[in-house]
Amino acid sequence: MTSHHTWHLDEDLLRGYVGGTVDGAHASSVEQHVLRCVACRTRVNALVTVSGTSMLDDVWIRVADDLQSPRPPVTERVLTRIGLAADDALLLWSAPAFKAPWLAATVATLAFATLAASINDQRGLMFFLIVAPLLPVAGVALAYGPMADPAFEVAAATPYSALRLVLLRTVAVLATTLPLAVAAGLLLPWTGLGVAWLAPSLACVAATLAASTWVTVSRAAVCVGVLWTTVVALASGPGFLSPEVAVDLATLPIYALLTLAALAVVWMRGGHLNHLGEPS
Amino acid sequence: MQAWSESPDGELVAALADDDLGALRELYTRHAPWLSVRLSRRCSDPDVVADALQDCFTAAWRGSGRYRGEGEVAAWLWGIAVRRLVSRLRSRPEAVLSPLEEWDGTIEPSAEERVLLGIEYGDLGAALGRLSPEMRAVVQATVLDGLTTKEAGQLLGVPQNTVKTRLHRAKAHLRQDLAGGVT
Repeated sequence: MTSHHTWHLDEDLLRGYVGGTVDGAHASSVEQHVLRCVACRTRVNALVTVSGTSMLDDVWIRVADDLQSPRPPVTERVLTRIGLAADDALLLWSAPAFKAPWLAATVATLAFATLAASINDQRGLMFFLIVAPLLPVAGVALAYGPMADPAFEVAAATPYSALRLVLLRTVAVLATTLPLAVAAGLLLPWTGLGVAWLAPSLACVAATLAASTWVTVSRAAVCVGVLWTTVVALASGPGFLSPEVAVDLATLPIYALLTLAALAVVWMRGGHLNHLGEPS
Repeated sequence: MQAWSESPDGELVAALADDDLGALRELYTRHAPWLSVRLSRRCSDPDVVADALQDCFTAAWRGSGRYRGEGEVAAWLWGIAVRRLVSRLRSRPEAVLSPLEEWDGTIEPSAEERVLLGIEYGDLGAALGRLSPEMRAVVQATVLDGLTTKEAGQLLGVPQNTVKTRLHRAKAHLRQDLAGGVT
């Protein structure tokens, strides 16, 4: 594998290369030669080892430490790979929304709601329309705070923006819950309904986040849940035709506006999330 | 742990797959110094260079199976190192890039050396020297360092399209130069 070169680099040129005083074209020549010539590589190394030993030793210690410490789980590495900072990935992945109990509960609730909706026309649909959009809200309520988070103590003691944590965790909730709920919705006989509830769902999540800058997140979630249930119940009551009104195309702009307004509140009052899950 | 100092690079890489830290240490001793110099010429922030070097050997350890046993181990390691540098720079956009042209004329290669370097590059070396610093930086990153135009753009802090344009112009210049158009 070692190609035998008939010539080797001049000592001055090598010194100049290591010292950074040769021009670009010559440095490129040196680099191409060093890549293939073991003898000259060794000479470059000898020149570097004189000046840069401590840096190289430090890096080696870090490499050895890194290799001997346990690797983060594969999911966390995937999150890091797609550009998330390592501590963000850890916090995101430790979100309850990624834990088996939460996923199991989501699947069970959705299965029940879907079943009810497909058996009983109007009331079943109403039930589904109440439950599906509120699932992410419940997820957000459980996503942070002392009740839910095994890493709560650690998170509370970390100099980490609460708003950032909450938004990360919300993303985790939406990423796990929404696909499941959309899949369930598509099983229903009403075309379009399977996804039409996404708008009110996002509005509910945003409203929960906004309200949690005043009251605890669990209380905020309960309030939003009651509100949404009332809306769907009213829409299904006398005077209206069916629960579908709540997710009608005409009402979508209302939800969009609500979402934007709530997000604006979160943005402006984000500092009030100082104590995780409990507004200051 | 066996003594690796006599083994060729290829065997060391093969031993990484068996989790032999001694083999990695030997690879590190042989390659980390010159890699650090070459990386320093691409980025003048010593912290970023140290990070890239660390990432390189960690990645070599974990990806040793991807070395196909052909070609120089040195070239394989450089390929990893320069890409790690690019991704470190992406997460630290404030890091300072080395000015690629900082020759103060202190080292003037001797006539003999010019001939020797000519063996490596021939007229191409001289032609490269006549390119503008921007164009040479692009040629260095893409042709010599083996980066894609996207990675080169990230390394040099310019858009990918700019890299393509400069590379295109550099090729035209070199072609004209080597055909004797410029003296």
